[in-house]
Amino acid sequence: MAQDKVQQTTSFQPQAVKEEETQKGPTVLFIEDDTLLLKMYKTKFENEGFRVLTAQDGEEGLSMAKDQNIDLVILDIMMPILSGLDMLAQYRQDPKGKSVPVIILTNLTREDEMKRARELGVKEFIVKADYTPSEVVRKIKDYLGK
Amino acid sequence: MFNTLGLLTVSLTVLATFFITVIVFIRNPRSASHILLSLMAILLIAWAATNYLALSPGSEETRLFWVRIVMFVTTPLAPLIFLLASVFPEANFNIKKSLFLVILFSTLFTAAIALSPYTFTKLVNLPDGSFRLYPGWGIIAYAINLMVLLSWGLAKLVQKYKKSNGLLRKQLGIFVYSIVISFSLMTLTNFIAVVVFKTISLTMLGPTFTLLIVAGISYAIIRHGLLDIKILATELFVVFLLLILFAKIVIFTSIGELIVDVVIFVSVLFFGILLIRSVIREVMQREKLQVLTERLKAVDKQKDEFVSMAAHELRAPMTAIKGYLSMVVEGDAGDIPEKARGFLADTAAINERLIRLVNNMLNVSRIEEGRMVYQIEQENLSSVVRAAFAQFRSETERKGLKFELIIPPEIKDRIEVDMDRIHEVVANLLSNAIKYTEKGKITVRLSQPNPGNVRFEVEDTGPGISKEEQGKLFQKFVRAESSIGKTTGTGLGLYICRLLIEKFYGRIGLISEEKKGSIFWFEIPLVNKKVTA
Repeated sequence: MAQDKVQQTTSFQPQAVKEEETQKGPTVLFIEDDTLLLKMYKTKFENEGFRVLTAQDGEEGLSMAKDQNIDLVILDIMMPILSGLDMLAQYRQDPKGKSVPVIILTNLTREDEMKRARELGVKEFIVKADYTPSEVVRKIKDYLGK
Repeated sequence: MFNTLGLLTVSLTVLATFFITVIVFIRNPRSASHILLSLMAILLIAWAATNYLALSPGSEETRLFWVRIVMFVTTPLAPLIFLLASVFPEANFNIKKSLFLVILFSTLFTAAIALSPYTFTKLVNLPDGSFRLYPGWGIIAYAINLMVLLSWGLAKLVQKYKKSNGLLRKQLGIFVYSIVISFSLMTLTNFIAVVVFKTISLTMLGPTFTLLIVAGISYAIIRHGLLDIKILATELFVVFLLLILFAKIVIFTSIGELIVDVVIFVSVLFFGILLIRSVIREVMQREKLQVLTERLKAVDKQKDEFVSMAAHELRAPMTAIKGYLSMVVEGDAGDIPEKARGFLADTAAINERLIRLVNNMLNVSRIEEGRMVYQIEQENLSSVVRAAFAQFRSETERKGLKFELIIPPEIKDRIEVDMDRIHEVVANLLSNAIKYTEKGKITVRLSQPNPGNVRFEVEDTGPGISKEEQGKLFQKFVRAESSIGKTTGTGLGLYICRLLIEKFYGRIGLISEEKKGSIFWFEIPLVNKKVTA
């Protein structure tokens, strides 16, 4: 029984990934603890042709980022369990996460946090309240186009 | 000469020590610290007296007797300092019994030896009136007893000092300093002078130096509520003055002089006490004020933190509202009727105002304290202004205002700033203009006042602002109330605009006349001045 289950999941997952990978848009991982905001960005980004993965805390985001092939991580800072910056620090240690671009999407940035984020290779910071979802999409398209 | 000066020094020392000790003792006769200090003071008085007698002319037998008494009474000094250092500033005598017994035994032993011929075997009078001493093995016991207990006591004090803070630290500091200073001076007169320069004439100063210890420790013990250098200086001054006057009374030559001296002494005593009390009161008030100021600062910080936190918490739901509204308006949820779109646009505009308000509250303390994080980049001012202009169009349409944007085609407007912050300034100024203008026209204009700068203007046909209010409009919490008649807003918007524009090396201002509208403007230096020439 147990073996069956394992068989099932292992055979099921890669297929699903493959299916989505056939879509043209880049894969974005959203890590954000506010479910309403997460749903909003997911909807908008999917409408714009992105493949969207979501996680609600740093730990979940980290394991997802290690498992999947991701083109861009969009990261909140203040989150339960594992904060965005701690997650990022661990992600950068992982061979998969060394060069993946990361954008900070948050509502409050402190100088020390920004400094640490820059040291971890973050080039873009977006204050959520300043932009509508479509503006965020545009900024990220610009960023990926660079 | 020796006698008068010596007697005067000794009597002043004895008197001062006595005074201070009595004051300390009656404060708390049951406290171990107070008792130990009083015991020490009694021994110091005995030392001063016997030392004087040993130095006075006399037969070799008499002088040797007094020298031995000096050694006897000074033996317990170091043990007492050690005990005091261990106990201070507590009232309990919390010394281990075994340790206390060892100290007691060794001290009694050393003191007994001091009286015997084993410490000083012989004394020989010299022709100049001084004498030479021949020490025996007992002097070694004496020295060990002194050095071990004194350094141990000091080590304990320093250890306590390092761990302590605030008032206790001050107390311990005074304790350590008074011991170190007076023992250094004593080493100078009673050891170096005797051994190196072969003179005993300075040894009579020894007991006087101990006055420093007594005074210092007493002060540390009794004045722990008000350790203040100003009070200390005043008290020392008054005591010094009283001692001189007292000495004058002692060496009176006639009854008339005595009466005058006594009257002067009493009045100086009276006014001295008044002076000390007034200084104490002043210092107390100052300290009270300090405490209040500290508390006020803490409360102010709490308030700032609360506002920051509340503003941040408000941002999340506002972001969601803004995001969903924009998505509905942009058609992410399918087509909606034109009328509904209009309502939603209004809602979005109102939500924007809310976001601006919260941003201002969140940003003001961050800008003021330099905690604001800027993302400086090069950009054209016109693109920011266009975006802001588009954002406010529907609001002006709803109010029935004409809304015009004038940007000269060949304007040079590349600036190096944080674009989001400049957008905030432009939005604040546009929002103000729309808010205070009921009918007429709002004109947004970019221009080049000189080759090095770009100028932004927003002109309205609102009520205008009086000359008095113009002056203070860019200050914190100021709203143009009287001439405008509206009292909405936090009074932070223009203040933040000024802080931000100044941060980017620009200038901000307004031109206005009552009933004739206002022009709010700012100018920012261009990135490369040569290109624009």
